[in-house]
Amino acid sequence: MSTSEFKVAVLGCGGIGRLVSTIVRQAVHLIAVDRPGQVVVVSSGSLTGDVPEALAAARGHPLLVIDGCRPRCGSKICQGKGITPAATIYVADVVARGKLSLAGEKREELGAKGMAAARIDWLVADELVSTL
Amino acid sequence: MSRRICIHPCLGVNEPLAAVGRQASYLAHRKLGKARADLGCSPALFADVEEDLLFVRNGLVIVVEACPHRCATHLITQKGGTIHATVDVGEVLARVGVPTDGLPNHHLPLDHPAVVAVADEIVRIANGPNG
Repeated sequence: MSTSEFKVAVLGCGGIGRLVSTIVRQAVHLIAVDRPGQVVVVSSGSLTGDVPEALAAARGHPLLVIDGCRPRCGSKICQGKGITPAATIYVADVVARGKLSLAGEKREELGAKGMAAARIDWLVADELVSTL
Repeated sequence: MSRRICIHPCLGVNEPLAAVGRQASYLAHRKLGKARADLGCSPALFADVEEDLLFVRNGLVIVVEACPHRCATHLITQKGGTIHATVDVGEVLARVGVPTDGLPNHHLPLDHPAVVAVADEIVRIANGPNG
């Protein structure tokens, strides 16, 4: 496991109502799991709850934001809390560029057809990491 | 005409009880039906998405909290919403005897006993005298 002191914070929009929120959540999970010791996951819920540890994590590391849908809530949370992201990814752009279909996937659980969704997760993760 | 139910989970990440609360909110929403219930979204509420503002200002809000920070309660109050009931995931699981040791911190299927127990509590409150 890498234990380098330099870490990147990752904030997914963390929504619940749309399938894309689940994809963002999965992408954040993959980013952290694949890079042990290098990533600090920041919860949007904790930021909106003004949890000191979450605010410190978002402010103490270069912050990458993944926005899922049009309101771009992750970015708006940062704006509202006075946090400047190092980079931002908008999942709709990734999906469009990859010409990927989300048909048949459910927000509650990315299923077996979810190989497509898993690919999206990886595309999001790869795109995000490529911005570093 | 009865008011719509707003199920509003805390949406924490990397926390087993938050994952239970989120999945239970999906399941409770399915059980109650789209015609009767909405899922409240904290990021959207923070961003002043009109739909989410209306959920917490006009609906009967059931908050699903996973830790003592009570993030959803904090935000809903800030945005002028009124909370009808709070479901504390840890308390529900302790009451029904579902162990929390070893729960995954990322995702659980909708038929997981912890998810079902918390969803049942949400539905019970929604179907109560004020629901």
